[in-house]
Amino acid sequence: MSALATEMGCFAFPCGSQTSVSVSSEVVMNILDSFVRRNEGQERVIGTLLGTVSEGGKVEVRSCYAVPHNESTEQVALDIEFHRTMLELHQKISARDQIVGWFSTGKGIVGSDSLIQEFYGHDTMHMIVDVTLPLDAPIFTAYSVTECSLLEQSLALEFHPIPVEVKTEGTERIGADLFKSKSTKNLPTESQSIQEAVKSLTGMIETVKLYVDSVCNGKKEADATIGRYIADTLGVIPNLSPAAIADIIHTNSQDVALVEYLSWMIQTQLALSEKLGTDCMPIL
Amino acid sequence: MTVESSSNSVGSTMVEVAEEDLCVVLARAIGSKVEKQCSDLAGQGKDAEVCDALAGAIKDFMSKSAEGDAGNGASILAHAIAKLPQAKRDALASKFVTEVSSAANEDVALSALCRAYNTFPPHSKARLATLMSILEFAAKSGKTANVASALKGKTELIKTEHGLSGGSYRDFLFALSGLYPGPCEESFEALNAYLASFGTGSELNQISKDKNATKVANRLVSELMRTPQHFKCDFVVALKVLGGKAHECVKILVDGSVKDMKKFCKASSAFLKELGTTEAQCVGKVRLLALAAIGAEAQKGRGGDEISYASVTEALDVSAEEVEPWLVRGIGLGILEGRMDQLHQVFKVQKTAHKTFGDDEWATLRDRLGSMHANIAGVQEKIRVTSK
Repeated sequence: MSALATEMGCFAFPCGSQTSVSVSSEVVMNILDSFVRRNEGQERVIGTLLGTVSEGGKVEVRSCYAVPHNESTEQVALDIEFHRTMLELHQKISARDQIVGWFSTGKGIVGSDSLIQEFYGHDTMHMIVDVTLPLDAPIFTAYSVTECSLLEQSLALEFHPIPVEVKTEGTERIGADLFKSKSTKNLPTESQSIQEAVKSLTGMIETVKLYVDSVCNGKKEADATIGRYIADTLGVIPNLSPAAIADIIHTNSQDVALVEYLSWMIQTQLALSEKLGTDCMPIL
Repeated sequence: MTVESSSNSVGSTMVEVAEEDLCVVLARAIGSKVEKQCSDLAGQGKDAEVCDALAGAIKDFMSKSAEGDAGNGASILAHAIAKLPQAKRDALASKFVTEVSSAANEDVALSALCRAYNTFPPHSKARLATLMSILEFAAKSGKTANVASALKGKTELIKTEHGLSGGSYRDFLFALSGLYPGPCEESFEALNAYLASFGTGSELNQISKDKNATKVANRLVSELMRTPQHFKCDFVVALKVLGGKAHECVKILVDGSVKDMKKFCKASSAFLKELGTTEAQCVGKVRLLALAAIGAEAQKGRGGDEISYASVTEALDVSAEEVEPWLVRGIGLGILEGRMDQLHQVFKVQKTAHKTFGDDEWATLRDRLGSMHANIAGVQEKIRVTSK
């Protein structure tokens, strides 16, 4: 699992007990699914976020579940029994996961959020998922919460923004790619996957090459940071000549062909053994 | 892989749970005189005047109150100021920041300023002015750890958010570098960005009129020499306009040899003392950068990518026994990556750091990308034929 930060908002100082949130893609899918399956007339979905908090206040959200609720402008009714049962069931699967916060779908904080926050506690964070999936604004916003009181009188809850990061495993990415098309009859074969990967790599190299060509031709201003980044990335790959590459592929193809030939021979041997009623026939 | 990550596009939000006006509650906590004044003004709907009265009294309130109340009181006022129209908000934010900065408890004051920064609307003048005050206050009070850690890697984000460019960007970078008393990666990057902000064209001449440029250049050279991990010398272009010993020193790192550096150090002992560096550090740096240079040179030729131990001996001006320790040191500092072939007395370079990234480096990159593109196209064709 790797991280790639694409900041699209504003900087904020960490002011609460949580400093950042990392959410697994499974959680995101779960939230979106809960929203799609919400009750008729229900404006938003709220639910519990489970995971762990590290010493530096970094929250890792690994799973979640929606909690049925009813709300009006003045009150919120959560199905606490459902929440407790789900928590117990989740903790049977993964005992180390604790309640780290709660989520809601929507566009921002609303008045009734203070009541829900009181239920989950001030030491938990709140995450909002904008299910309209806007292109010009963050889809996820998260807040650490502090209580604001004066002379021992509780006056308000202060929601401090914290950065959110959604992480996807390599294997999950394959599934996400399949979702791009409206329908998928068959999963791609290994050969098709490799061809797609090489095609995608070629595309990326062409993009970078275009940029470097523009810099070399004076059409774009050179940025040493980008240049160093590209050079470092290319440095990971050995600089081989076309002849050496062809040789590697040729040798590799021969190895694959040999393994395939051997496996066919073993299959034939087993089939023959079955027919002749003997399991100790020599291969050659 | 990461699909998406995002920061916030909104400031802090306060959800009130008390039925009373929070400004009136704050005024009551400050004292009966302010409470009466604020109640009257609030009754007349004069929100800006209420904030003004509270801002005038917030310093004393913070000094005499418990830590929690002091921070919360300042935060309530910041939220009230954030709701005002832009012109009044900017003026009152400035007054608020000045008053809070002079509160007796520095920790509480810094925390209140950070909360206020989050509260003021994104992209606003009030927010930028608060950020600059935070940087100044943290550097002055020596309470830099939390602010520095929060700002780590966020320079570009802040630059974009506040539309910083030219002078305003340099002011921010200069203030940011003040958070780091000693050499470190963040301060080196901030100082480097300061000089790089003058560009490379005609505007580079403005550097000689900049009041902080010489100070920044000297500090940058000092950090470059004292920290083995730093090797970027792109700012040599800016130093050329400024001239002086700093330029002479960095020019040797870029183009010169170990002998040139030894000669320079002997002639410039006062300058080295001013920078807080030593001859050993300067000579060590020039040797490491010489390793990077011969590594980059080797990578320009396709297929080979090898540097002989003999060439290392010559470039670094060291004995044959010292070659491997220097190579190991270079690998450890991330200047070179590759394998040592003791049998053939060569080092096979896989990756090398670039002390400057100019036209030659871009051309090498273009050649490498060209050959890689051709290789991948060959692989693609072979896979296509094989899968048929």
